Amino acid sequence: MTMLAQFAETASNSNVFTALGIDWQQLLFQIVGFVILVILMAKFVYPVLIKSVDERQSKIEEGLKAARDAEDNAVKVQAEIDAQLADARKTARDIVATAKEESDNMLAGANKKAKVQAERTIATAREEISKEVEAAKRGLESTVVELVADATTKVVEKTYSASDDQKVISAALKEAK
Amino acid sequence: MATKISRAKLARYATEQLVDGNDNVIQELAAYLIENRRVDELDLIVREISEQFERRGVVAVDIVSARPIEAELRAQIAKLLGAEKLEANETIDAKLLGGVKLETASRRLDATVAHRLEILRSPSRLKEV
Repeated sequence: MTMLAQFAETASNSNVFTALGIDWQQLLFQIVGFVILVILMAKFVYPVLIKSVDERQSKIEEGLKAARDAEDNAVKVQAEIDAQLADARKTARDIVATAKEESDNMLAGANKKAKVQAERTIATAREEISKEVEAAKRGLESTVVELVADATTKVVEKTYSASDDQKVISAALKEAK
Repeated sequence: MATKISRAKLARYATEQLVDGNDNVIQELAAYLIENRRVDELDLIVREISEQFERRGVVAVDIVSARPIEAELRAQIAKLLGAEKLEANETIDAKLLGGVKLETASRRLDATVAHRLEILRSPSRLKEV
């Protein structure tokens, strides 16, 4: 209350600036100095600062752009890697499928070959057995025939009479007509 | 140069001469063959002469048997060979066991027991039978 009363009293005795304690000269001097300071700052300091800020801004933007590019590249590379992996998987699947098919074919071929070989072996064995049986038959037959011929010779030598001979010759001559 | 006379002509001539009773033709034929270096054809000419005789009803036959052949069988042989006159050269061979073997210039008949046993022993007897 005291201060407000003192201010009201001072204001009523002089102008407002005086009442506020402001010195016109000092204020003017400070304004001129501030303007000069602003001009100097605008002339020498701000350009440097702005340039520095711009450069920094530019670097940051370049960095961001590089980061974005790197990210894009990373995405592309990842896509390429994925594509290559997909190709590789497909190729691997194809190789596995081809290998399986080839192995199946080889197995089937081997089975077929083995079957043919087995059949051929069986046929050869049968043929050889047949030949051996035939040879044995021939041998046995030959032996039997030989025995029969020898026995016949002996029987004829002992029992074949002259009249039998004449009859046989006569029959042979009739048969030969 | 003398023309070469065929075997058939020589045989026909020799046969005619022999039928006519000219036995000297044998010597003439032998001389001709020697002179013309055709001795190696002798067997063929003799065979041809035998065939000529066969056509005229005179058959020369070699008869081989284990026992002597009876006259009845000889007549049967002549009939079989179609011979009006049979000139038989008989041989006895006990190894034949039985039966008879006949051989003329154009025919051969082996009806011996030995031959039949040989056929029996032969591996290819089935084909022969």
